[in-house]
Amino acid sequence: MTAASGLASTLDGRTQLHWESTGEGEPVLLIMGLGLSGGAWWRTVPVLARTLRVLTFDNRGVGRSRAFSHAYTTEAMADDAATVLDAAGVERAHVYGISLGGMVAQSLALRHPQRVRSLVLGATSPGGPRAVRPDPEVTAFFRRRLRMEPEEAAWESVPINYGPRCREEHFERIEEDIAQRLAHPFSGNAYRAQLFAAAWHNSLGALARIAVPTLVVHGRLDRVIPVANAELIADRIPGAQLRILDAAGHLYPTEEPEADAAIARFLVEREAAT
Amino acid sequence: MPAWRDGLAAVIDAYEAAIGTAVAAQQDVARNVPIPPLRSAVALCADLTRDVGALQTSAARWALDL
Repeated sequence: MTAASGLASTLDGRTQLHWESTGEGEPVLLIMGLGLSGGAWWRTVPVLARTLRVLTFDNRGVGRSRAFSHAYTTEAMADDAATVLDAAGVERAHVYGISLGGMVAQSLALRHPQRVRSLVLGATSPGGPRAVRPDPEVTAFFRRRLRMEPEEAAWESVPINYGPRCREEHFERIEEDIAQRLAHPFSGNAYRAQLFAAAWHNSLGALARIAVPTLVVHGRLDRVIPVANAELIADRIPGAQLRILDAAGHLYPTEEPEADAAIARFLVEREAAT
Repeated sequence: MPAWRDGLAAVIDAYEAAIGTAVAAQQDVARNVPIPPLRSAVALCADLTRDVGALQTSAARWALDL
């Protein structure tokens, strides 16, 4: 189903970003969250690719991408996303980011507004002093995560990443996710650098400048990035729509697969309106 | 928001825009440098300007709760 793939080089010539393109139609760029490669969009890509050209990429330092620096910012990662658009020959795209990827998507819309047609911000935070932090157990897990083996970390993260309904009724989906995650190498350095980027991200004061149609999606039971952050974002971005998924936690594409179908409809409707 | 906070927010926004302009100018220079190591060095300067500027504006907005 993948129509094209490639390596995009940033201007420094040392940061290389692996990207893939699937499907045909108006382009949508997907930006993944902490420590995960573009392959982690495996549930979402087939849904969006029915009507859109879907671009995924491995964030710097993750998967098949390489990074030059050892500390990232969401601004640097947003410039990477623009580099991927250049390499794929895309002038302007819908942009959908989840978790840390949602922070990068905010930065992309602020730094390169002419490249963003519409915005979907999933399970993400605006950062800054008003952002609502996760509970101490979650924070402690993220600190411990670097000392854990990938499989141990994947299983220990289950009660943090998924809501109780998914854990009780659809555990096979969680097993599929973990199998996918373990198939891609994990880089401790990139994880640390991405944590740095997430910790310093602070766009709340600038969100009012985002002028493209925006959909904010969040699980009400999200423990990693509490749902109040979605309300903060939706309140600041003019005209933003807010969709709260009552039974979902942080990884809502797994927990509520229909969420991706609703996102696809949002993007296609924006396309029809322009 | 009180007027003084609006003023501070505008100052930070202007500083952020100036950083963006400086980064874009350095990147334009880098694109036109024909020697790869030199191009890489100029691009690295642009990256540093962007990242240090981003941390400064983040910290300022954080401290002032903007």
